[in-house]
Amino acid sequence: MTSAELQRRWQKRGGLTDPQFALTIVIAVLLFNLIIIIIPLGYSFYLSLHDTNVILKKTEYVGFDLWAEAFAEEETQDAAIKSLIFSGISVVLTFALSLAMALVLNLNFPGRGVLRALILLPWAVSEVVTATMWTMLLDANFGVLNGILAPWAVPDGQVWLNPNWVLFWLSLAFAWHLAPLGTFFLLAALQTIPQDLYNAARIDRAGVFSRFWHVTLPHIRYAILIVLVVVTVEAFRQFDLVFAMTSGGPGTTSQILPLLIFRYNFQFSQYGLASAASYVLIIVATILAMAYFVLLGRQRKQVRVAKPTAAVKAA
Amino acid sequence: MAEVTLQNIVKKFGETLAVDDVSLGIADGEFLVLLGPSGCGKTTTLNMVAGLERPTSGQISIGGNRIENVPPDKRDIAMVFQSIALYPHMTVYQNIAFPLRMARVQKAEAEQRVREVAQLLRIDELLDRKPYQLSGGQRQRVALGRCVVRQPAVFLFDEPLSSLDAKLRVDMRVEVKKLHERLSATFVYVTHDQVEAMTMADRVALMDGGKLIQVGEPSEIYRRPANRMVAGFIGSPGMNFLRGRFSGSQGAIAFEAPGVRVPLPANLLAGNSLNGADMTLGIRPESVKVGTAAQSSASVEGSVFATEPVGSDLFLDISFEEGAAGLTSLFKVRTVPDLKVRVGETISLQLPYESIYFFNASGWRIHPA
Repeated sequence: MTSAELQRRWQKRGGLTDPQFALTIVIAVLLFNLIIIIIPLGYSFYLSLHDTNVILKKTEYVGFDLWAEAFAEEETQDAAIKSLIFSGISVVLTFALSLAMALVLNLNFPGRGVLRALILLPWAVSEVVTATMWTMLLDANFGVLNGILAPWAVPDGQVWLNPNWVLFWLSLAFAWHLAPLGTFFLLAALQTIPQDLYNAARIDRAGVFSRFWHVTLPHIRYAILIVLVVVTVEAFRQFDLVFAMTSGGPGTTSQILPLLIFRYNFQFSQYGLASAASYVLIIVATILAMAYFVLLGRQRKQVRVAKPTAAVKAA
Repeated sequence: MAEVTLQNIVKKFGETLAVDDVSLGIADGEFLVLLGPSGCGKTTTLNMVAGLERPTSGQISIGGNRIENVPPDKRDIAMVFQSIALYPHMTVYQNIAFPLRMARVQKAEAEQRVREVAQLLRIDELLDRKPYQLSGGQRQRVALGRCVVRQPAVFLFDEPLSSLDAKLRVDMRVEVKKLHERLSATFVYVTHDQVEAMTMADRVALMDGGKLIQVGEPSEIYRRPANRMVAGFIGSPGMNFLRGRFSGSQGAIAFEAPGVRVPLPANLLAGNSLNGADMTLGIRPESVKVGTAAQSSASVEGSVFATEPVGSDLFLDISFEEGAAGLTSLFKVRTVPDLKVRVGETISLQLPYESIYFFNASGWRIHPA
């Protein structure tokens, strides 16, 4: 087809057909993704298969040896467990906080418009600022928490970020930061529930908890799914907040996987090992996200159009 | 026994008066339709009986027990909503069984009751479906089933048929009526559709502007409308109105409206004290006859502005004022479908004296007394 012919066709059709337009957009986005995601991911995969010696500027193909090393390394296993604990507490706290705030903001009370705007603020604050704030709240010597609790016989200079509790406090800071986003999703879903359903449930003798269980929850289940996936993935790849608050300390008690990868990469220049460990992280996060879809999305499968029965055909 | 009594019910939303001093007694087993234009307070009244709204003042009782402060779940009522309001994630079976589940009815008994109700409403084939897999009429029946299964003393309906298409609405009307006959429970049914009200109700309660205007059997509401609003609202199309005055005296009074003079016998209205007063003459489209002078009717002439054939009947739109045929002042006449008339033609109409109504300046009926 000559370009003149193309030109004529273009003018004749007055632009693109719908499928052409769709394809153009999809291909453009895919190209963009290729550049910013696929290529770095590919390069990272290449690195994970090579042992790199920075000083000798030598790269040697080692197959999946580094992967095996990443799995076998006690440090990696330890970090993976820390990651799981941190993510577990984070998801529970964030989700509970999101849902509670969404339910409150869904009520009708004066000033809720202002409150809805204000509640998003923690999410808008950068993670490093969040970390600084929580560090100051929890500081043993001049922290706000110790100041408030002083009259109740909490020992002066209580170290909150101690090895036993550091993951909990990090999770709490994380929840404080991310819960507004969850609230946003859940509130949007809550507002689509028709009032008549609640009225019907009230007349059907459903109490407050039954109404929540049978009307509210089923209606927002897909919003819940999205929130859980987003929060889990965010928690699993969390770096900024933890790095700024504890840098993985005390000792390595809060050294979650992304921090360890950072250290492999930038402190020990073990690019291959860092890449291999990154892949471990991606795989675990993906498995977790899929698990939600399987658990919460399973009812979707039942949502199929039943074959019309004879009676329906007759009707 | 489940008679429902409303006494001096008032409901205000802020400064707005939604229901204005409504008193109404509904007998046990009665089918009462609350009828009125949108915003007349009928749904608010129903919601107060349901317990979804609390009256600002006044008393409500069901079966002799005061219930204004009783929550909806303890009132022994069931309700069908305008939006149907089936639980979207539950199957038909679960939807119908839901009130029983909440009332902790034994599983076996619940199942039996659900199946009975499903059979009664011919939805037993659909029990495994989800609401979105049903047609409008089927959803309606499921919503009915969810009410029937509870065996409540009072059924409340909030314009349940308004979301259905015209054909289905006619079928469901009969279905609801049959259901009432079978259950002999008290039905309170809100609608803005006068045909629904006339066809289903034992008694109709007409509301307007938050006030209860008239309560009566459909035929009474049709024959003896309390005011212009009722007369215009009931009937399809509604009553024709001519605004004008009486003139003349002794033996030869007449009603004069712009473009038309209706001669009347002197004894039609007691006394001539009404001379000169603002008045509205009303007559139903189906009472007017086309043709020349007949016994005991007033003869008038008008020009045909438009014709509306509907198959079974022919409706004529008559205009009395030459050139000033605003659509609001058109006078409708129902006649036989094969009548030959041309638009613009002058036509003779007979208004039988017995079918003529008069309403005073504030709209209330003064004739027939």
